[in-house]
Amino acid sequence: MIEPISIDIAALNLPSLVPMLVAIVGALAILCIDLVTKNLHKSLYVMLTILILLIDLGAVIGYNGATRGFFDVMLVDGIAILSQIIIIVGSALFVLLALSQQRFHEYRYPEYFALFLFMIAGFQFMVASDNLILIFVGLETASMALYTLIAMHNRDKSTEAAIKYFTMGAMAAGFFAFGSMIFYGITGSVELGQISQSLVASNFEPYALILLGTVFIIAALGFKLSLVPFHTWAPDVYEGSSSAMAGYMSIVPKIATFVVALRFFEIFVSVDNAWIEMVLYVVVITTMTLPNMVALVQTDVKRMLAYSSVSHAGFVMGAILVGTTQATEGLFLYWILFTFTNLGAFALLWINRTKNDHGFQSDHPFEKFSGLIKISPITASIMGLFLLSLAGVPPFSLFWGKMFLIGAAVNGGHIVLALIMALNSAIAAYYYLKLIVYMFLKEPQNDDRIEFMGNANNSLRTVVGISAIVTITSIFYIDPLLEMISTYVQISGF
Amino acid sequence: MEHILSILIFFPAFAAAIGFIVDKDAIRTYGITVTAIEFLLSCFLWASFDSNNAGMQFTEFIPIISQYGIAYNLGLDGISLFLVVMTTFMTMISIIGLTEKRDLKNLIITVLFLEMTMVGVFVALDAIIFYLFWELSLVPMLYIVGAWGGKLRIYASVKFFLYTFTGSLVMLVGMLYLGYVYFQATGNWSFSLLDWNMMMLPYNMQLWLFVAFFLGFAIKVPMVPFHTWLPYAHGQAPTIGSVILAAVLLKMGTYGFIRFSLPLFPDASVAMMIPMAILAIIAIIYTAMVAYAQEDMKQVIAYSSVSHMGVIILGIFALNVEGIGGSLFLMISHGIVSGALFMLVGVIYDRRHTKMMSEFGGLARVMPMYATIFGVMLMASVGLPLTIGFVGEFLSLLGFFAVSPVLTAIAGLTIILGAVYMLVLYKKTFFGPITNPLNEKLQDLKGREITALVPLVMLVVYLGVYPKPILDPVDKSVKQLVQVMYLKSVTPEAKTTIASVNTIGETK
Amino acid sequence: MESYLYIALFAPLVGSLFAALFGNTPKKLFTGIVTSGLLGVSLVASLNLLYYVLTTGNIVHVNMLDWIVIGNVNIPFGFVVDQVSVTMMVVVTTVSTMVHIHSIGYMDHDRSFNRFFAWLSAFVFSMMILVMSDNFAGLFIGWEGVGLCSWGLIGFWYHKADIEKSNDIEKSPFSTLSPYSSISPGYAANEAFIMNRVADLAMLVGLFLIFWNLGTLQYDEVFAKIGGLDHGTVVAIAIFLFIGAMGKSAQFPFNQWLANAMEGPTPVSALIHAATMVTAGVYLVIRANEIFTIVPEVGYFIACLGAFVAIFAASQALVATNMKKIIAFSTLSQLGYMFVAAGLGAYWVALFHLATHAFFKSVLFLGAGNVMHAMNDEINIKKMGGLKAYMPQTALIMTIASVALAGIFPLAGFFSKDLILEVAFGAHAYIIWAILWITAGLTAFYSFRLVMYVFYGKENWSHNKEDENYQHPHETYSYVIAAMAPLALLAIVAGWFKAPFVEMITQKLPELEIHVSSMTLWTLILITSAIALSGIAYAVLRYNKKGTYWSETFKDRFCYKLLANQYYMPHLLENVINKPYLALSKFSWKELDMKLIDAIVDGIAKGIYGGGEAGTAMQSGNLSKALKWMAIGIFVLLILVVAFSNLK
Repeated sequence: MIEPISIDIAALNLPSLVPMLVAIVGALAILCIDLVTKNLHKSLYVMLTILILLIDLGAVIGYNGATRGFFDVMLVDGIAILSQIIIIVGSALFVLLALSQQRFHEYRYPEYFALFLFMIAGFQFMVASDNLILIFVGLETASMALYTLIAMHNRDKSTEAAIKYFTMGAMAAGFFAFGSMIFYGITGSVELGQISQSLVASNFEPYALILLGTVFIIAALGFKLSLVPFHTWAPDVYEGSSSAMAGYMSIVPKIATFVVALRFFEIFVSVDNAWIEMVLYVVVITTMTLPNMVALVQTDVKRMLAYSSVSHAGFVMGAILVGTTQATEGLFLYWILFTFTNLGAFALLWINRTKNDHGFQSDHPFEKFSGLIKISPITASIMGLFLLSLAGVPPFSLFWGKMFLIGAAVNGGHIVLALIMALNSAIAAYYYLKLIVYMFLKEPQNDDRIEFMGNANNSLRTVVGISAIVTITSIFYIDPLLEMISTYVQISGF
Repeated sequence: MEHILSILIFFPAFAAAIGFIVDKDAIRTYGITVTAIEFLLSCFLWASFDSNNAGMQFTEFIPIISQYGIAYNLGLDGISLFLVVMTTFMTMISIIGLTEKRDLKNLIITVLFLEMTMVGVFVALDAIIFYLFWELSLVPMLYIVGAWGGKLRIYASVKFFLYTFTGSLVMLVGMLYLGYVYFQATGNWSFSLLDWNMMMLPYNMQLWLFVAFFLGFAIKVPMVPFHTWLPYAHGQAPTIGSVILAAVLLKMGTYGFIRFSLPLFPDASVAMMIPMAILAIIAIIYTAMVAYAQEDMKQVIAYSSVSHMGVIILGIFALNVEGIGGSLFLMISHGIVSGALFMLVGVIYDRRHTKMMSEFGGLARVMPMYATIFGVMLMASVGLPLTIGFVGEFLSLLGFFAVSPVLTAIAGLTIILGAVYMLVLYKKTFFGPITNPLNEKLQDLKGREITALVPLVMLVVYLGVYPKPILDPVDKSVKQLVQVMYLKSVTPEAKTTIASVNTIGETK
Repeated sequence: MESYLYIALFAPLVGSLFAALFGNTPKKLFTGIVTSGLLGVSLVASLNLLYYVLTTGNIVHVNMLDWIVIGNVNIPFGFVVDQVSVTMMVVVTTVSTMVHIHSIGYMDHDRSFNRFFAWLSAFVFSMMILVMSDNFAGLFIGWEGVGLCSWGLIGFWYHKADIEKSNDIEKSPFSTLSPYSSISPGYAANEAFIMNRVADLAMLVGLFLIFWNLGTLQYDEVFAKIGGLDHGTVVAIAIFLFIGAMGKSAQFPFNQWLANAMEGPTPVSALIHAATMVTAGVYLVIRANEIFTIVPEVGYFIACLGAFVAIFAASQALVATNMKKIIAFSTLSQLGYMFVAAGLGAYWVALFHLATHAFFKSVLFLGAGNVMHAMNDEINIKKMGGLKAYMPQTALIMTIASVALAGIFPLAGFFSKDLILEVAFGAHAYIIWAILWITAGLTAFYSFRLVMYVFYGKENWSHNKEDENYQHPHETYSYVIAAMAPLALLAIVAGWFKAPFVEMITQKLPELEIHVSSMTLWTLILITSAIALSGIAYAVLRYNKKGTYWSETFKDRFCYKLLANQYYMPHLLENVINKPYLALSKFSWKELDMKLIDAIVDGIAKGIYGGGEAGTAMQSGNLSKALKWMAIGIFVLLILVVAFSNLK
C-alpha cells in the first residue's frame, strides 16, 4: 500500500531535476532553431550541444540539495553524481567527433543532436533514481533515441543494426517491466530501497518468486550491459554504427546500466545471497572469457574492439559481484579510464574512416593497418598506446583500473576470480597485440585503396590527443581521481 | 646526489624521447653518447656506493596511490648495484657493436626505452613499480625482436610477450594479495618491499605466494619446462636483441627470486630448496644436451644460457651466502659472457648471413683474432679458473654442496657438458680445413667490433683474477639477506636449515 | 727470497704474453729466443730457491692477494716454496727451458711459430701455479690452466681434417699401427680437455668436501685439521682427489686421451705429456700425503691401479709402430710406477722417480722429434731404420734415454725405479711387485725395439726421389742437440743425487722404511736389473738376427689386434659414450623439446584460439538466432532458479 502524500513544492526538491531538464530544454531549443533557420552547419549544433552539456555538468556538480527529491523518485547520491559526470564528459567527447572531416548523413539533421540530448537526459534519469518505473522510463527514452541515432548513420548495415538493437531492446524492456512487476507484486513497492527493506523483513520469501523476478531483471540489465548470453547484438550493432557511435555505446549506456545494476544487486549482495553470487560468478566469468576468445579470431578491428568491450564489461561486472566499497570504487575508476582509452581507440578508427569501403569485406580489416608505423608513425604509436592500455600494460591508464579491480577481488576474498581476471587479461593481450603486430612489425602493403587519416581534422585530433594524454599520464592523477571517487562512493554508502 | 636513481632510470627515456628529433645519420653517435653517459652515471653510483652499508642506499620515496599504498620507491643495495652497472654497460657495448642497417633510429630509441625499464626493475623497491617496469620491458623487446628479427620473428616475439605476460599477471595477483595481507596485519596499505620484509607469513600462505611469484620469475629466467620461448626469441632476434635479452632480461627473473621470494617466503624457500634444485639440475643437464644437438651456433648459445641460468637458480636456493653471492656473480659474468658470445655470432652472421655450423670450419685460419676472442669467451663460458665464469659457478656449486652433496655432484656435470657443446661448436666452426670457399676471404674483426669486444675480454680476465670489487658489497648485502631469512622464518626446521647451510661442519 | 719466487713464477707469463703479441704475425725468431730466455731466468730463480731450501731448510711462503672472499670462503693467491714444490719447480723449469730451445729448431718451418711459444710459456706458467700454490683452489687454477694449454697445444695444428674411421688396422685412427694418433688434432684436444673435465668434477667435489668440513682450502690448515674428521669423510675426500689425479695423469679409465694427445707437436709431448703435466696427479697425491696416509686402504687401491696401468700401458707399447705412441705408453706405464710408490706411502720415492723420469722421458721424446723432423714427419718406426748413420747424436741421446728408462745401473732410472720395486716388496705387496717386475722387462724391450727399428738394421726408406717413401734424413741443428744434452746428462747422473735429495725431501715428506734384509734387497736389485737387461738383449739380438720381432708371427691373432687397437678402448668410448650421447641429445631436442614441451605450450594457445572459433558460431548476425539466445539465457537462469533455489 502506498500512503497518500501531500504535495509541497519545497518538498519536491526540484533542483534534483535540473540537470535532466537542462538537457531536455537544450534539445528542444535545438529543434526550435531548426524550425527558424534551415541547414546551418553542423558545427553550430555541436557547439550548442557542448554548451548545454557544460551547463548540465555544472548543474550536476553544483547540486547540493537533499539526496531525495520529486516524490522521492529522484535519488541524487554520490554514485548518481559520479556516473552523471562520466556520462556527460563521455558524451561531450563523443559530440566533438561529429566535427569529422568528411560529411556524414546523420550530422546534417539537427534532430540528431536533439535526440542525443534526450538520450543523455534518459541516462541521467536512470542513474539518478532508484524507482524502477523512472529507471524504466529513462532507459526507454535513452534506448529509443539511441536506436534512431544508429539508424541515422544511413547505411544498410546501420539500419539493420538499429532494427536488431530495437527488437532485442524491446524484448529486454519487456523483461525489465515483467521483473519490476513481480517485485512490485511481492513487496508492493517499485523503489529499490523499500523493496530491499521489505525483502529483508520477509527474509526473502517467497524465494522462488523473488528469484524469478531477479532473473528477468538480470536479463534486461544483461542485455544493456551485453553480458553473455545477452550480448549477441553488440558486435553487429557496433559494426553497423559509425566507429564514433560504437565507441560511445561501449561506454555511456553501460555506465548508466552499471549504476542501475549496482543499486539492484546491492539488495542481494548486501545480505550476500548465495544464489545471486553464483549466478553473477557464472555470468561474469563467461562474459569475460567467451567474448575474449571470440575476439581472438576476428578479422576486423572494430569487431575485435566490440568483443573486447564486451569482455571489459564482464570484467567490471566482477566489481558488482565482489560488492565491497573498494570494488565499487574500482568499478568507477576502471570505467573512467576505460572511457578515455576506448573512446580514443574508436576515435582513431573514426579518423581513419573512409567514406566508401573500397571493396574491403569490412571497414577496418587488420591488413589495412599493416606497417602503419612506416606510413604515419604518430597514428600508429597512439593506437599502439591505446591498445597497450586496453591490454593492461603498465603504466598506461587501464592498468591501474585492472590492478585496482583485481586487488578488490583479492581483498574481497575472491582469489579465483582474481586469477581468472588476470588470465583473461593475458588472453586479451593477444588480440590487442595482433593489431600492434600488424601496425609495427609487418611491412606496409602498398595498396592504393588504403588511405589513412581520411577523416581527420583538428577537433578529432584534439579528442584523440586528450584521450592519449589521459592514457599516458594516468600515473599522476590516479591518486586524486581515487580520492574523488571514494568520497562520492562512500557518501552514497556503497 | 639525491635522485641519482631516478636520473639513472629516466635519463635514457628522456634521451629516447628527444632522440626522435636527431637526424638518422647521427643517431648511432647519439645512442652511443647517451648510453655512455648513462654508464658513467652508473659508475658514479658505484663510486658513491657505501660498500660497508648492507642496507638500501640512495632511496627515494614519492607516494603514487596513497590510499592503496603504492609509492614510487627506489633503492639500491649490493645485490642490485652490479646488475644496474652491468645493464648500463652491456647496453652501451651492444649499441657500440651495433651493425644493424634497417631503420636504425627506431632501433636505438627502442633500446634506450628498454634501458629505462631494465634499470627500473633493478632499483624498484615497490612491488607495483617493480611490476610496472617488469611488464614495460616486454614492449620494446617485442618490437626489437618482431621488427628486426628473422623469418619467424613475429611468432617468436608474440610468444615471448604472451608467455612472460601471462606468468607475470599471476605474479601480480600474488603481489596484490601480499599487499592485502600486509593491510590486514598492519591496518595500512603498502607495497614496499622494505615494509613487507617486516612481516612474517604463515607457512601455507608462503607456499601459495611462492608459487605465484615463481610463475612470474620462472618463465622469465627461464627455467625448464618454461623455457621454450627462449630459443625462438634468441634465434629470431637481431644481435642486439639477443645480447640484451641474454645479458639483462633473463637476470630479472633470478633477481626477482633473490629480491622477493627469498626474504618474503623464507620457509617456503627452504621447503622448495630441493624441488627448485631438481628443476635447476634438469635445466642444467637437459638443456646442455639440447644445446649439444643444435646445428645453429646461436641456438647453442641460447640453450647454454638456459643451462647456466640453472646453475644460478641452484646457487640461489643454496640459501647460504656463498651460493647466493655466487649466483649473483654468475649473473654478472653470464651477462657479460653470453652477451659477448651473441655479439660474436652476430659478427659472423653479418659476414655470411648464416649461423649454421655446417657452413663454417677452419675459420681460425682466416679470422685469427675473431677465433681468439671467441676462444676466450668460450673458456669463460665453460668456467675456466681466472676467467669471470669460474668464480660464480664455483661459488654456486660450493654453496649448494652444503645443502646436498649428491645433487651438487650431478649439477656439476655442467662443467663437463658445457665443455662438450662449446668445444664441439668451436671445433666445427674454427678447426679443420676451410671446406666452404665462401669462407676463404672472410674479413677479421674490424674497428667497431673490436671496440665493442675488447672491453668485454678485459673484464672477463680482470674480474676472473680479481672479483673482490664485486664480491665485497655483494657479501655484505647477501649476509643481511640471509640474516633476514633466518629471523623471519616461522618454522623451526627452516631456521635450523638456514643456520646449518651457513656453517662449516661435518658434511657428507 | 720472495722476489725469486715471483721471478720464477711470472717470467714464463711475461714470455707468453710477449709472444702472444705476435701471435697472428708470421714467424719471428726472437719470440722463441725471448721466451726461452725468460724460462732460463725462471730456471735460475728456481735453482736459487732450491739452494736456499736445501741449505737453510726454511720454506718461502707468500700471500700475493685475495682471490675469492665471500661468506665463509676466503681463498687467496698464496704461493709456497717448500721441499716438494721446489723440486717440481726445478724439474719443470729445467725441462721446459730445454724444450723451448729445442722447439726453436723443431718448429722453425711452422707458420704459427709465435703462437706456439705463447702457448708453451703459458703452459709453464700454469704448471708453476699448480706446483707453487699454497691451497687447493690455487692448485685447481693451475690444474685447469695446464688443461687449457694442453688443449691449445694438442690442437695446435687445428687445420688438419678429421680422418674417417676405418676398420683397416693400418689406417684407423684408433690403432697404434696407423700414422694417425687420433681422429684429428682438434678432436684429440677436445677429447683431452673434456676427459680431464670429468676428473676435475670429482676433484671439485673433493675440494667442496674439504671446504665444508674444515672451512678452508689452505694446505697447512687442512692437513693440520684433517685428522679430526671421521674416517669416512677422509676416505671420500681422498677418493675424489685421487679421481682428479687420475684424470690429469691419464690413469685407467682416463688413459685414452694421453695416447691421442700425440697429435700435438713433439716438443709438446715431451714437455706436457711426458715430463710435467701428466705428473701433476702424482704431485697432488704427494702434496696431499697427509690425507692419504690417514686412509691406507685408498693408498693401496692407488698402488693396485698404478701397477695395473703400468703393465696395461707397457703391453700396448709392444706392438705399436707409431713412434710417439710407444713413448706415450711408456710414459703411462711409468706414471703407474709413480702411483704405486705414492700409494704405498713412499711419497718421496714417487717424487724422485717423477724427477728422473721427467729428464729421460722428455729427452726421449725430443729425440723422437728430431727423427720425425729428419724424416719429414714420418711416424711409423717400420718405415725408418739405419738412421744411426745419419743422425748419430740423436741416436746416442735416445739410446742413453732408453737405457735410463730401462733402469740400468748407473743411470737415473735405475735408482728411482728399483726403489719403487723395493717399496712394493717391502710393503709385502708381492703381486704388485711381480707386475712391476714384469713391466720392467717389457719396458726395456719395447724401448730398445724402438731404438733398433729407428736407428739400426736396414733402411726401410729410399734415397730415390721418385719413390713415395723417399727420405732425406739429416742431423738436426747443433743448438737443438745442445738443448738436449743437459737433459741427457741428467738422465745419466740424476740418480746420483739421491742422498742429498732424500736428506732434503724427508724434512717435508714421511721417511721411507722398508723392513727387508739387505740380502733380499740386493737380490731384488739383481733380478730387476736382470730382467731389464734380458729385455734389452732380446730386443737387440732378435732384431739383428731377424729384423722383426716375435709379435710379427701372430699378426692376425686376436691378442695382437687387441693390443694394436689399444684394447678397443677408443671404439668403446666412441660407441658407448659419444654416439649414444649425441643420439640422446638429438632426441631431447627434436622429440622432447620441440614435440613435447613446446607443443604443449602452443597447444594451450591453440586451444584457446580454437575456443574462439567455436564461439563465433554464437554470432550468426541472424536476428531470430540472437533472440533465441536471449530466450536461452532466460531459460538457463530459470533452470538455475529451480536447481539452486535452496541457495540463499
